[in-house]
Parts: sequence; structure tokens; C-alpha cells
Amino acid sequence: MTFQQLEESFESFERGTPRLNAIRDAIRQADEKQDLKWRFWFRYDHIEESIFCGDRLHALITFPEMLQLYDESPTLQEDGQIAHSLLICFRWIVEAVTEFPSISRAQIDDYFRLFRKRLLEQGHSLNIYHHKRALYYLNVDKGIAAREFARYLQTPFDSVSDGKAIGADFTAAYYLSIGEEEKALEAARPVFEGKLKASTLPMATYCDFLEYYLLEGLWEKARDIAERLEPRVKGDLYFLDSIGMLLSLWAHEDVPRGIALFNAHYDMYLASKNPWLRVRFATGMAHLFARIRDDALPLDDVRIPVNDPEPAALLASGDRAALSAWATAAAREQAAKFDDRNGSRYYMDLVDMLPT
Amino acid sequence: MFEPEKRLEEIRAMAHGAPQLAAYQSAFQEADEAGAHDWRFFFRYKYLEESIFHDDCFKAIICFPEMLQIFDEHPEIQDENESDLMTAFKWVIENMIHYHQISREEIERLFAEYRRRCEKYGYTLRTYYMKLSKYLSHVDHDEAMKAYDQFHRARRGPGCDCQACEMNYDMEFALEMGDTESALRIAAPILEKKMRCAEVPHCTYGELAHHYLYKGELDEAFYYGDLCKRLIEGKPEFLGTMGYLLELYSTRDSIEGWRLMKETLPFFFASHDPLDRMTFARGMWRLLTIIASQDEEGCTQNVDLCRLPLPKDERGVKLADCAQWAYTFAEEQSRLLDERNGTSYYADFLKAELPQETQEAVSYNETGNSIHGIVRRIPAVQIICHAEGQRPTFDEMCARLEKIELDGAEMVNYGADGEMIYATWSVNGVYSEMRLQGVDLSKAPLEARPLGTLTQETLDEMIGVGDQLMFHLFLGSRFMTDYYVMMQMIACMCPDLVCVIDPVTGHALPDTWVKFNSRFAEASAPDDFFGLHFFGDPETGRIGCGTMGLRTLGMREMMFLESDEAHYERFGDMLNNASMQLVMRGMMPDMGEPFAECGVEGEVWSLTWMQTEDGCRLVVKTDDGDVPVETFAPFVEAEEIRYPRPQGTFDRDMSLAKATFPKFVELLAEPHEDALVRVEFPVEEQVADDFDYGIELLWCRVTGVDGDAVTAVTLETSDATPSTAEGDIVTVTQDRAVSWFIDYEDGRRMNSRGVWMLWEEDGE
Repeated sequence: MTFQQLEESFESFERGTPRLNAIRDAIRQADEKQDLKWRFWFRYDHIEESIFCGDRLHALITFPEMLQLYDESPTLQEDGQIAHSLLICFRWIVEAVTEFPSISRAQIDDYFRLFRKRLLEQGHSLNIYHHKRALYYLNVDKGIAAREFARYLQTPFDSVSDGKAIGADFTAAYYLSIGEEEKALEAARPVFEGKLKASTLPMATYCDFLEYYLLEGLWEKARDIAERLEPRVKGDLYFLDSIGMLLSLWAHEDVPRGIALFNAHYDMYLASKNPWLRVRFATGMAHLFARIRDDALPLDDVRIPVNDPEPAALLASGDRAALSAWATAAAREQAAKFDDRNGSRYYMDLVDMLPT
Repeated sequence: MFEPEKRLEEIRAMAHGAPQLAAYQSAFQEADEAGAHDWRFFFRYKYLEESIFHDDCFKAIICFPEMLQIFDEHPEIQDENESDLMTAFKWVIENMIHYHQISREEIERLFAEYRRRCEKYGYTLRTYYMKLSKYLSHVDHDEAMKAYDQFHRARRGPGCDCQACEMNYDMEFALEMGDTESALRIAAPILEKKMRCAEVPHCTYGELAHHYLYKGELDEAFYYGDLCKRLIEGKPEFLGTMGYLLELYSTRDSIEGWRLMKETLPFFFASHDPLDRMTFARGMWRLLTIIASQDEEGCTQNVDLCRLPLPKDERGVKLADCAQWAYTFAEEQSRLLDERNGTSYYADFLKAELPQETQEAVSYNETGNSIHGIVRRIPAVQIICHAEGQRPTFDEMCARLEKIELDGAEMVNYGADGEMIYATWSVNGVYSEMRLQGVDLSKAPLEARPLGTLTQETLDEMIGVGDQLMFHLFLGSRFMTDYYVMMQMIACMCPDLVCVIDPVTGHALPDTWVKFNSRFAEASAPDDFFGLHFFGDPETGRIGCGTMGLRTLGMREMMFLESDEAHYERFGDMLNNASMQLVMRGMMPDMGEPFAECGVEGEVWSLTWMQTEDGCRLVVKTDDGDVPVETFAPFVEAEEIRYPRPQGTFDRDMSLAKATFPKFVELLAEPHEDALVRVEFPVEEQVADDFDYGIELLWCRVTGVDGDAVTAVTLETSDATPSTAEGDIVTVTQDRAVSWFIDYEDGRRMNSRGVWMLWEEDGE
């Protein structure tokens, strides 16, 4: 089988771990054969799969290898398509690194600095740099986010920039972060009307609005958004954060529905290696169990697999308070890691936010 | 409380120029008080940027040292702001050389500091050498050449000007060194429209016009000057370049030069940039000298010239005095700049004599001498008619003006002067003036054709009253905006008017026309600015048609001649459509330059004009030369001729359809034969990606009214929207409608453009 055929065969593997393993094997083969271009392209495939199947962890491991390969090879650097693809990977990576609290803020800034340098070296606009930096700092430092958003608006779009749909989603998210709901709705309108589309939209946009409405206590608007969001994200690991947000809503509005959603996705939470997806789910889980505790609601319909012994035992004991305490502690522990890294209180505030 | 993120959002919504400058200044002062160093720097950067691109750079030069100090004193903000600092530095060194107040030592010190920072932060020295050679080109040619050579040896990288700007500079440098041939070769991609940016080819055309002017090659100079003028009119950042154009027009077309000067004077007074002001004043001097020579005692009441520190009387200021003032100003500024630079570069321009051609005195008569498209404008006039005894007094009209809130413009001043009212307003810094005075129609024969709901009887009655009002203004380059402002003013001052008459086009329209046009900026269409008149020769049976009113826009009146009776309507339609395209595109085309298109059986033809003894004839461009449209066989024999709809017209029609949608819903309650509405449908993702548009427009037949919306069924389908089938029921709201019409049993059709005939006084 040629390497081209090998690449085409990835489609036959299930997304996620099976496909990642197949691509890793292809990398090994290309490395052994010292085929420079396929060593690059298989790593690109590996990173892309890791990013879009939801875990992002493998991308962070593979990317430095790809960068080293590129930097050591004039042949790769002279290939315009490869040089461009490197920047596309970089675009994914600067967003992915923020999802791992083990990566310090200084290291995140280093990644951004390097990304900027690479963009300038290849004569690209800094539009995508300002976009991703603003996105990270939205919930870390509003001042930096505001300035980067202003720069994003000023700099020209080019081939490395995200598309119009993602741009609209980002603009809406920025306006929500500063409490400008009308402007956010105006920015999101083409996404909601289906005029602008991307693979992650309108789900990500719905999730941003859901979070905003939850924080503002606008329950009716939150429900309206949730009805549109939930069918689109159920069962998809990539949207585990949205599931968590929905759990927070149902904790307030419809506990049985929340329990059903929890049951359907708890396994996914356990299996996920992405700390950011996990903390978002855990936050919703904490809200749900807090409500069950406060209103002394039955636990009969809650399902926790036995291979997660601690909460399984608490569930079996029927002790709502203990179960809630466990869920809240799990959420707070994870939230604290993010907040300590970022130097803010955003994640802990989310855990503490929901009135019951 | 200091809320910088919210402040930034508020400022972003403001107009560029003075409003944003004041707001950014206030913001950085607040940041200073709050000790927020990152915002202290950032707001200063935005202030500086606003000053560079929407003002005269003076504030940028003042602000920059503070920015630099904040940056250097706070290492914690340097990583985020390094790019902004270096960008601001580049702008400052480029513009500081305009200011004679900045000594050579200071200039050289700043260049050295900029170079040091480039080396420290890893930036290429390309921009450093480029800006240095530009400065030295007016100081020391040898040193300029060395710097220029280094500029091209350095690699491109962060902080460099765009490629269009670099190419433009290469051309300028070649012109400066006296190498015209190289300059044109270098600039070829720009002149072929393959390279452009925010300032290119504006500056390119301006420099070439200036170069050829001082070489005495007027035809070439005017060629580039006309191209430049279209791009820079109304833009304060091109004040210096406009000075070049005033010098140019002083040689051959002082009437157009006078118009440009009046339009640009507000920017001159507002600017602090010595070099730009000097260049403009030099152009003013040359132009006013020519105009004053036509009438030694000539005076002007122009508002801006009357601001000069010169003796005034009831006639205004003397043109000769204005010319002398401009010379003194230009001479002083040239001297100061030359002293700073140690040369006589600018003074030499003042000493040069420019060629002069015989010109008509500044008046409003059309000339056909020039092969380029410039004509004399005539004022746009509206005769405002009231019933006997209903005409408001001048005091009443002034009192009404006090309460007016113009949409799209800002009133600058107004007043009454005996039996006349005058007013000045500003649209984005460009001034327009109007006069309103009485007119006795019994002494001035007036023929007009009643349109819409105005009857001949009513029109005759109004003309019979005799004593009416005349509104008088020169439409600027933004005809539609000026027309909208004019209608707002007339509607405000004369709420009881019966009709308005345009004596140039011969159109007479009822009060509902004025009220509708004062309500909606999109209400006027291009063919509201001109009319068509047919004329014939009964002996030969040939019919011709000509426009009336394009002169008010500074364009040429055009015609076709000698069509037969079977086809004259077709060519009248062609003249109308070509004129509409001309107006919408805001073009003043050279003879032979295509300005309109039409389609016949799949083939597209370009239309232009040629000068004949009879006047300007509409012709079609073919491989065998330009052919009068009425004798071109494909047009004579065609079953149908199609015309494009300029995007501007389409956008305006769409806006008007949406704005008048509530009236459409209201009208549907009355008996009618049919009603259609054109609706936006989102397209499939792949189509949106492939064709870069996100919506399809489909016609639907109205079946009912549902509150503020209408229900309709689709009449057509599209590949772009496969999920929408013919016969689908849709609910159409105001935001989805792009066009509508209602057909009545008596054959009338009502649409958004005609609904003015039914407009009630309260606007709904």
C-alpha cells in the first residue's frame, strides 16, 4: 500500500482512538522510510483528528514533533502548501493548549509569541493571532481581550484566518463577555439563520448564549436556546462542554431531563482526556446533584457505572448530600486548576453561580 | 468608574475624525488617572492611529513621545504592544517631516531611535531606509540615493509598507530623480489597476499629474489629474494632493478648480500639517490669481474665504486679496520648510511659471472644448409652489429651520438676509450651501410637465399665483445625499407646499413626492436627476432624444439623433438606462471611455459618448470604432435589450422596499388584482462557499396578511435552495422582503418607488 492509499484508509477507522492509533502507525512507517513529506502529512492528520474528535491531547504531543521536523528541513519550508498547513495546525494548537491547565500561562504566551512570529515570517496577517488571543483572554483578562478584539477587527482576513462563520461566533462571544446582548445577537444572526455555517456551529454559539442567559438568570431565553442546542450536541464528545451547560440549566428547570442527559454522557466524561471539557461537564454535574440534594429529589433514575467506585458507592447509599459534596468537590478541584493557571475566578464562579 | 472595554465599544460606534479623537483622548486621560498602563498605551495608540488616517497627523506627533515613554517605563506591557509601537513609530517618522517646527536634529534623532528599535526587536531596516530616503530626497539627493539603495537591499518583513505603497514610492523617487520613463515603467501595475491600497493609486495619479504639469505637458497632466480627482474628492487626508489639482485646474479649467477649492477649504482650515497646507495654499494662489484676473473687482461671499483675515464689505472679500493671502501663506511655509531642510526645494515651485490656456470666465456656461469629461455645473433648482396667500414668510421658514434635525448631514449655519434664506450644512466635513429666495413666475416663463398625482390644472394654478419660492444649490459629488438633504429642508420649511417644479428637467411633482423623499434617503433614483426630451423633424420623420439635468451633476448632456418612429422608444430607453448607470457610478467619463453597458442576445456592449457638431451623442464601442446607437444594427434588430442594475441601485431599492413594507401590508387591505413580493432565502452551504453569497431571492405571490407580515406562496425555485419548492407557503416579514408590487384592476402598478403617491402627511 502506498502512503497515499494508507492516508485514504484512515476514513475506515472509527473517529477518536481507533483512527488516532491508525495514524500513529502510519507516522511510524513514514519515519522508518524517512519519507519527509509523509512524515509531515501524517502528523498533520494526527493533529487534525485529535483536535476535531475532541480530546486535543494527542495534538499537543504531535505538534512539537511536526514543528521540529519542519524547522530542520529546508525542503519542507520551501513547500508552500506545507508551510501554510503548519500555520493551520498552529491555529488549532494555540486554542488547544488553553484547555490543559498543566500548561502554564507563560507557556501559553510563548506559544502565542511563536505563532505571531511564524505568521509574520510567512507574510500573513495577524488577524488569526489576535482572534485566538482574544478568545483565550475573554475569561482571563477582559482588558487584553478587548484590545486584542480591537486589533482583530482592524487586521485583514487572509487564508489562515478562520472563516466568516467562526468570526461571527467569536464576535458574538466577545459581545456577550462584555454584556452587550443586542450586539451579540446581531453578530450571531447569520449563524442562527443558517446563512453562515461551520462544522461546530451553530452549537458553539448556542452554548455561549446559554451560558450568558444562565449567568443573567434569564431562564426562558435559556430554555429556548437549550431546545435548539441539545439535539445537536447529544452523544458528541466534542460538545461535552455544551452538555455540561445543559446540565446546569436542567438542574434549575427540569431535573429529570438533567438526569437523563447526565446518564447518557457520564461515560464520555470519564473517558475524556481533555481537562476543559471535563471541568465544564463536572460543573453542570455539580449543579444537578446540588439541586437533587436541596429538594430531596429521588436518585432512582441516576446511573453511575460501578467502574467509578466512589460516586457509585455514594449513589448506592442514597446519600444525596454526600453525592452532591463529591460532585461539587470534583468540579471545584478542576475549576481551581484552571483559575490558578489563569489568575482569575471564572471557572470557580461558574461552579458557584447557579441559584437553586 | 473606569470601564475601558465599554469605552472602547462606545468609541468604535462614533464617526471617524474629531469625535473619535476627542473620545480616545478622554479615554487615555481616564486610564492615566486609573494607573492602567496597558490602557494608557492602547488608547494613545488608537488616538494616534485616528490622527494619522482621519486627521492631519499633528496630534499623532504630539502624542507619540508619551506613548514611547509609557512603553519604556513598563516592561510588563511591552510584549503585547511591541507591534503597535513599531507601527506608530513608522507613521510618525513618515509624517513628522511635514512639520518645519521639528528640527533636522530632532528628525535625525528620531530616525536613529527608530533604527535602534528595529534592530532591537528584530525588524527589517527596509522601512527605515525607505522613509529616510523620502526625507532626504528633498534635502540631499546623494544621501537619498544611498538610502534608497539600502531600502531595496533590505528584506521585506514585519512593519514594511504594503507592496502597493512601496511601488508608488519607487515611482515617486524616479520622478524626483527626473527619470519619467522609469517612473512609468515602475508604476505600470498600478496604472493597469493590478495593484492598489487605501492610498494607491490616489497618490500615484496625483504625483504624475503634478510632474507633467510642471513639465508643461497639460494633456498628460489632466489625464492623471482627472483620475486622481475622482478618488480623493471629499477626503481630508489628501489635502496636499488636492493642492496639486488646484494648480492643474488653474491652467485650463478654473471653474472646476473653483468648485474643488470650495469643497476642500474646510479641510485646509482644520489642518495643522504645514506641508499639506502649503501645497494647498500654492494651488489656491495660482487658481485665485487666474480667477481674479478675469474680474479685478471680483468678490466672493464664500463662507470659508470670508474667514480669511481680509477686509470685507457687503459683497464679501475680494478674490485678488484672497489670492495674495494664499501666496503669502505658501511663501512663508515654503521658506520655513526650506530653512529646516537647508534647500530651496519648495520655494522653487513658487517661482515656476505654469502654462496657461485661454479660459472662459468663471460662469455657468457649458463648454465643449475639452476632450475630458469636465463640464460646468449649473445649480439644481426647485421652484416651491404654494396656493395663493399660503407662502410662509422668511421668518417663519427660519424658525422652522431652527428645529430641523437633518438625517445624513449636520447643519452648520443658516439665516435670513432680507428676502433670502441661506444655509450651510456638512456631510462628513464637506460643506454645501443653499439659497432660498422669492421668484415671480409671471416674469419668468416656465414650462413643466405634471407627474404622479399632480394635475395640469393644479400646476397651471400654481404658476398663475406667480409669487413663489426658489431653492437653489449645487449638488455635490454625493448627489443622492444632497437631494435627500434638500428634500428634508424643503419639507421642514414649507409644510404646506402644493408642488415643486424643476425648471431644468421640466418635472413638476406634488407635495407627497417631497414628503416621501424627505423621509427616505433611498427614495430618489438616478433618473430623478435628469429628464429626457424628444424632438423630431416632421419632414424626415426622424426622432431624437436628449437628456436634461445631467449638467447639474457636472456631467455632459447626451443625446441620440435620427431614430425612426418604430425605434425611438427603444433608444429613449437606452439613453435613460445609460444615464442612470452614469449617475450611479458617479463618473465624468472621457470621450470614448465606456461608462454603461447593455446586453443583446447574450453579448455585452459598452456605451460611451462622442462630440459632434450637434452635441454629445451616445455611441456604442465596437471593434470597428464607435457607432451611434441608433444606427447600430444589433440594437435596431434586437428583440430585447437588457441593462445591468448597478449594485448601488439594487441596494437602495432593497432598502426602500424594506422601509415601505408596512405601507405595502396596509395597501393589501384594499382591492387589488395581484400582489407579489421578492423574498430572501438562505442558500445551501456549498453554494454560499462556491459563489460567495448567502441568500437567494425568489418571487412569491401574496395570499394574505398576518399582523405585520404577509403570507405568500413561492412562484419559482432555485438550485441554490433545493429545499424550497414552488408552491411552498412562506411568511414574509419586513426584514426578508427585497421588492414588492401590487397590480390593480385598472392597470396601475404600485411599488416601493411609486408609493410616494399615496404618502400621507404623517408619513405612514
